[in-house]
Formats: sequence, structure tokens, C-alpha cells
Amino acid sequence: MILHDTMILMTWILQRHKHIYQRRWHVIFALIVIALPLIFFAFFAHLAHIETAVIYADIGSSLLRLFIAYIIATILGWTLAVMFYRGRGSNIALPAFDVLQSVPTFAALPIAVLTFGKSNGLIIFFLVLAIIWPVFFSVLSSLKMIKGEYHEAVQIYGLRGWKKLKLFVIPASIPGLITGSIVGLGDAWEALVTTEIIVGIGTGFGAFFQQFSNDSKMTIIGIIGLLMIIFTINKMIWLPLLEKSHSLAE
Amino acid sequence: MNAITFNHIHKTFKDYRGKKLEALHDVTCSIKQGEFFILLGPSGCGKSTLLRIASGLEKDFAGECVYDKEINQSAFGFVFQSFAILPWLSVYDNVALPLVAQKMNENKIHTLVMEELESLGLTKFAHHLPKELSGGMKQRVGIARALVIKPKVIFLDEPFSALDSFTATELRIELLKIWQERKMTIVMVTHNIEEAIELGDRIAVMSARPGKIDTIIDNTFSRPRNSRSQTFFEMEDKITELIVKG
Repeated sequence: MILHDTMILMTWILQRHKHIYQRRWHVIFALIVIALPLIFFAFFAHLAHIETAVIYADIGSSLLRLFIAYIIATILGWTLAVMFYRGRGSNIALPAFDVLQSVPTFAALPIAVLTFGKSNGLIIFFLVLAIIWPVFFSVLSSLKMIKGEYHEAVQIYGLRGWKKLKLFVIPASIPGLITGSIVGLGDAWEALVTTEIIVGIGTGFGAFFQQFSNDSKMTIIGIIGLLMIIFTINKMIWLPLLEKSHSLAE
Repeated sequence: MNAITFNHIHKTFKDYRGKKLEALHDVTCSIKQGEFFILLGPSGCGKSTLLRIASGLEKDFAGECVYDKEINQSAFGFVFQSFAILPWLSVYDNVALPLVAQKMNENKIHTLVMEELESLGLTKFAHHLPKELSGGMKQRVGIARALVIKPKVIFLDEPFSALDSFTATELRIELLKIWQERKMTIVMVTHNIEEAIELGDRIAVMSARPGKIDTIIDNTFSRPRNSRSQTFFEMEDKITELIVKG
């Protein structure tokens, strides 16, 4: 009887506040997407007989390295693209950057070890190298694709300096920045795990995969967990940003 | 009094093989203050190039482009063929752009922008994005942006060619009204003979290869101009003949 009444009440509420419940479901879905990798890794910790806190700390260290590298690479890549997308300098700079981005990143490992030692700096350095070029070339392409008439409108109305950057260059570069970030971070995940293993820093995903290098079952479960984290970040951050940025550039 | 005078303007471009192409050859003419001046001609006759030179967008040319002392070159209005309104800015922000560039204070910007939005019937759309507007509305935003700085000269580069004929007719009437009320100089490029006769005080008929002004026609036909009248057809025939002869 109580169940029956509750069902009727729920149906009435759902019909009356359909829009709110649709939004609530969105929130619940978002929470599930965020919580799933965390629950998965807690389960993994249980299977692997290690402390959950250790696993979370590893995830945290890797994400922090990735975040710092992403900020550095984005600032550098974006600035370079803005500096060289037009003008005489671009004729020399663009081929030079094209050659630089083709250099195999890990060829720089011996020099990087000498410069940074086996440290967080070294890992971040390689992550920056992985992210910077996709960001640079995507932003560059976005800026080069700006219609000539937009440039002329900005020129004739005398938009310059910071105002030009804020109202014209930054918004025009956003679609490229988002696309470049997605591609760059895709490369960076690989570079992250590889560098953490090579450096043997003892924390992060690399350390975690190294620990289970002889256990293929745990390695596969670990990879699934990593993919879940990547999926969550893409679903919650990059895909909505991508959609938004392209709709604004129409 | 002349607003703009072209003295022996020459302009060459290089094609992708590096071969020089003469876009404008020895163009000399004057645009009077307050007149509606039309640059008319087929594709490739250099009419848009001449407009760009006059507006200061094109600086690399030979010859001289002289402005009247009272004309502030940094305050030209320009209306583009494909509207050129920035897709990430709202209608309000697009119209405010020239004023923001002039570092005007926000209250004054607000007053001027709202005034212009109202005169172009855009008040309701102030906070819309360009993608939510029709082509005609987008061009209204382009015109409002050109007018908001109260320019002495406004340049229009085939402003109605991307619009359907109904919207184009409606906007032509509004443009004429604005011009008559505000008494500014208008320089407009078009390849539409009917549009040129309907709007222009004087029509510079241009021909291509190399681009030059063949003749300037005084359009004394009284306003409002009836495009179905005998005089209108005669003028249309005369211009067509001039263009065909090249």
C-alpha cells in the first residue's frame, strides 16, 4: 500500500517537475561518471592488497604533473601561435617549429636527465613536449582560419593591444586550443606513464604499473582504470568545451 | 567640397606565380562631401580594391588618396559583404566594438549602442549571438556597428549581395533614410546596376583588366526613384551599354 502510494506520488512529481528531474538525472549521471573511476580503483586496491590511499595518491601525483605540464605547455604553445600566425616571422618560424615537433621526444632523455635529474621536473618537461605542439599547431590553424573580413573589421575600427587580444584573438583561438588540448593530452597520458616508469620516481601511474609489471591481469585492470579516468576528464571537461567552442565560432 | 580625392591611383597584385597583375590603373576622381557615391562594375574591375584604399584598409598602392581636413580617418564606418560580425560576441558587443576600441566610458558606450540598436530595429536582439540571426539581421548589426561612431564617411562593400531580394530591398530603403537623416558621405561598391541607380547620386562605372573608371554618371533622377519608370530603364540601358563596351 505504502509502495503503491509512493509510486503514485513519484509519478505525479515527475510529471509536474519533468524539467527539474531531467536536470537531476544529468547531475546524477555526472556524479556517476566522476565516482566510477574512484570506486574502480578502490576495488582494484582491494584486489591488489594495497592501501586505497596509496592508489589515490598515485592518481593525484600523476594528475598534478599532467596539470602543471598542461598549464606550461598551453601558455607557451598559445603564445607562440599568437606571435607567429601572421607576419614575416611566421615564414621562418613555422618550418622551424614543424621540424622541432617532429623530433622524437625521448631522444632528449639523456640531456633532460642531466638538466633536471630524475625528478618531477623531468617528467613535467616531457609532458610539456608532448602537449605543446598539438596545442601550438591547433591554435595556429584556428587563427589562420579567421576570415579576412574579421581582420579588416578589427583593423578599421582600430582594435589594438589588450582589447584586441581579449575580444578577437583569444576567442578566435579557443576552438584550436580545445582541440589541441584534447590531442596533446592524449599524447601526454602515454608520455606520463612512460616517463614515470623510466625515471622510476616511485609515485604516479608509472610506479603503479611498474609494481605490477609481472602481473598481466592487474596491469590490464590498471589500464582499464586509467581509461576510465581519461574518459571522465574528456566527458566532463573537454567534450562540453569542444561543443561550446565550435558553436561560438559558427 | 570633396570628402575624398583619388589622384592617379595605381595598384598591382602578384599572383601565385609572382606575376604582376594591375588591379587599378591611373584612377583619378573625387567624392563630394555628403554624396552617395557608387563604384559599379563587373568582377575584377578593382572596385573593392579602390574602396579598401579609400577606407585605409589597403595601404600599399601608388598615387595619392586625399581626405578633407574635417574627416577623421580613424572614424570611418565600413560595412562588409559577408557582414564580418564576430560570432563569439553578442549583437550589443559587436556594435560596441568601435567604441570599445576608442576607450570610451561604458555609460556612453551603452547610450550610443542602444540608440543605434533601436534605429536599426535590433533592441530585442541585443544579447543574442550572431548565429541566432538571419542574414538581414546580421547585416543590420554590421550597419549599426558602422554607424555607432557617427562617421563622416561610411564605406559599403556590396552590402546587399549576400541577402535575398526582399531583405535587400528593405535594407536599401533604410540605408537611404539613414543617409538622408544623417547627411554623411557614402561610398558603396556594387555590381547591381538597379541598386546603383536606386541609391547613387553619382555612379562611377568601372571596367576590368586593368581596373579603371570609364565614366562617372550624374544620377539626377529625383527621389524616391521608381525602378519601373521609363527614366530608370533608360539609365539602366545606358549603364549596361557602358559596361558591355568596357
